[in-house]
Amino acid sequence: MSNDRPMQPWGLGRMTQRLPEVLPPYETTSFDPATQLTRFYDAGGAVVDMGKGTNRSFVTVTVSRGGGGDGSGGAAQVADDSENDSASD
Amino acid sequence: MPQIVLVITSAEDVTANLVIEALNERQAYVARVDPADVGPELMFSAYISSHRPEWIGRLRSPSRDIALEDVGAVYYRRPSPWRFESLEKSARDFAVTEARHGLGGLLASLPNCRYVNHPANIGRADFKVAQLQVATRLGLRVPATVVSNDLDAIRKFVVDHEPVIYKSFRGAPRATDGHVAAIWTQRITPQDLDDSLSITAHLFQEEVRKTADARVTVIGRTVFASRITTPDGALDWRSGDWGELVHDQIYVPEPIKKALRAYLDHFGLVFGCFDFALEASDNGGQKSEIWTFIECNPNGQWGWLPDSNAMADAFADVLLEGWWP
Repeated sequence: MSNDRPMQPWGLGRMTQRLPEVLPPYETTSFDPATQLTRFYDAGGAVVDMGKGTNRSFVTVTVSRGGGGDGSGGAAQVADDSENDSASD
Repeated sequence: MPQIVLVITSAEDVTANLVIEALNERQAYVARVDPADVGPELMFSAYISSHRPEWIGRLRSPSRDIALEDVGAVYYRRPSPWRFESLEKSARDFAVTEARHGLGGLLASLPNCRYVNHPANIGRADFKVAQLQVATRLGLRVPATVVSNDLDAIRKFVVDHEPVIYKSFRGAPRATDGHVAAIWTQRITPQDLDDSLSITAHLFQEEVRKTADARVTVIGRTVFASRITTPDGALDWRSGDWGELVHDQIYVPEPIKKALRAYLDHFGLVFGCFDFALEASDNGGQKSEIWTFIECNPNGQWGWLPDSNAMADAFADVLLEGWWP
């Protein structure tokens, strides 16, 4: 351990470089009361089909990770399918 | 009479959309709720007494007003973190804890309700240490593993088992400044180790000389399985471009299927995403594959898999099984 850097757990040193977040393929959402489905729209207001190709994997892989077992987990945007739980009480 | 499927998740959850579409096709009545909306947008009231010995009450969102006792199944997906953004820190901490116990506790205690999966069981099954213990008891092969904060013990393990990989339990901490980072599964050498291991727990495993990964998703009694290969043979397939992953159908050996069902039963789960490493084995000209259990995510992602439409149907079926007319 070098003395000129703040101490941190060994595992954190194995972290990738911090990269800018990938922007979601949608700009806004709306909720359809009848079907209880969320609709996704681009900046121009056109519907984004989130079931298609990279859109589907973007959201299921990189962003939809809020919620530990109790809804308290982090919603960090990381291409990791497990959830972290930094915000438990 | 139960008549409602309660879907607990965030508004942006695309995967929940897939299951809700399948439920709508079956004409089930769905209420989608994000507990983090608690406040004027999400009101609830529940009552219990010796004379009314099971919780009764109501849950009201802008589009649904349901009786708690009418909920026949809960699809517990990915609710948002609690917000309470307008409150100062100590008030916020109080509100979060009270909401977690009051509303979260209630939604986890609905009478006569099927949970896919129950959040408490997700929590129990989330511990890798517990996963490895249950997997070995069920006869599944696991990589030799050490969990420790002791540099000497870890160094000995690495020397004895090289090549060895490091894997974090829960991934990189949350960033708040528009950046992301990850801790991929990675190969390490004894020279990489130092005293900062003692600060917290670290997990190391012998590296499986895998030729591919297998993702086995069990939903109720239905088993979906894909062999996943990366163009560059990456150690951690999550680290590359997910669009380039190759998914092939794979047959899951019967003894492994049996062990997976017993595994889910052990933790009281209906659904689980299992990851295996596959090694080629040549037994006197008889080619086969060795399956090594890596982990099971009890609330894993599956929306990106090629079978996801059939998986959504399997979720709808298991949610409605036994009570839906």
